[in-house]
Amino acid sequence: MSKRLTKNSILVVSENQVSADVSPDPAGQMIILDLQNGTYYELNETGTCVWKLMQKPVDIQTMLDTLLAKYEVDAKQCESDLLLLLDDLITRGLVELKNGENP
Amino acid sequence: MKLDGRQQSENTNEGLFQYVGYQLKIHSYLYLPELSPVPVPSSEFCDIQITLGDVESHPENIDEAGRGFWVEGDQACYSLRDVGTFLVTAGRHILVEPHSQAPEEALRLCILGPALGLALHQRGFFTLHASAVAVAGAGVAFLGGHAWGKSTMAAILRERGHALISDDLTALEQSGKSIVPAFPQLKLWPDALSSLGCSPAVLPQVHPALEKRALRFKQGFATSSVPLRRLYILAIGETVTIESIPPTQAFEDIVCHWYGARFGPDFVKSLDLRQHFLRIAQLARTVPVRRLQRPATLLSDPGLAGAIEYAILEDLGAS
Repeated sequence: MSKRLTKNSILVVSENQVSADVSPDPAGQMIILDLQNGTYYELNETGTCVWKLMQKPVDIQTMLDTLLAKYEVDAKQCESDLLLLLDDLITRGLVELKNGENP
Repeated sequence: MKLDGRQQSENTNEGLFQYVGYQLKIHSYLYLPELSPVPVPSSEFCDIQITLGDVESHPENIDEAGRGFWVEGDQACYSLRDVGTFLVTAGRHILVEPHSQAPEEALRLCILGPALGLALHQRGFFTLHASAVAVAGAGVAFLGGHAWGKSTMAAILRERGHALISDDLTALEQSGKSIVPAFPQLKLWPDALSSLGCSPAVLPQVHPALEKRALRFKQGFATSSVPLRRLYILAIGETVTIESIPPTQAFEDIVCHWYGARFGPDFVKSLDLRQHFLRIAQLARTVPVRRLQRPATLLSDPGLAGAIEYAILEDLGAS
């Protein structure tokens, strides 16, 4: 588990970005625009799913549960992939940590 | 009436021409034969006024091609070396300061291209570097860079009975759902004109230094807005094929072919980026974006025009 993230960490998308689904498919294809530097990011299907959840503050456990219910993936692999993605999104300032610590 | 035959109504101001373009009333002190004259002139109201005068100098970024640009508040200013400076304010006014040696055709290219493009943008239209045609009533736009064959594509379809909507500068209504009729002109290279059975020599050049000619007509032009059904990105290939492209690519293509892209990063920075982004994303999500590939021999092979028309009709029927 990443240093700054635990399963109870609550995350939400930042104010410095705008995102939109560019695909007519139900699975979606999310594109994010970083309003501070004009960079575009594209998320894959699972990334899009997680991103949609983070429109409201959500804890990592809930994200994991949603992903595991939706996709046939190995739980351990899913968790490490998710943490990698979230860590990256936080580093880029696209996602904010609402509470870093366990309650 | 002046001796040169330019149309002028006696009950309007001296030297004021009244036109319609992009469904807007345009009053101009410059003669713009590309636009359609208003059926009933009235001096009371216009959407866009085009006047001649001095544009106050302002620091601007000038590129290697001699194009200058600056934007501030509701004003944007485009300039072209040896042609002139065009100050566009709040989508209502285009102030033109011509260079003393500027050929009239070159001035008109700038007015009806970049300057009008900025005015349409300021008025809330979404502008594309594209030509558009109503194919069996469905609005289709052909997107591409300089000399990718946008106008040729529009010309061959118009020749087959489909109404032209716009050439080079395409404006979508605020909602992005329909294409606004621009004005009845196509700018074509001599080879394209010859293959359409027109003699290039008798048509006016769009610019003294450009061999491109202006083909103007009264028939075969859309009279009202047309619902937008397809965006086709033009490409060259061995056969005529239409293929869908992934949503992210579609989004990027629209970003690239947005008409405002030519004004550079300063213009992008002046935008409400959030709104601009959401508009493009919505277009990519709601309008099918396809890659339309056709052989480079478009003009020499008489069968290709029909093949393209057929492929588009088939694509439109598939949805």
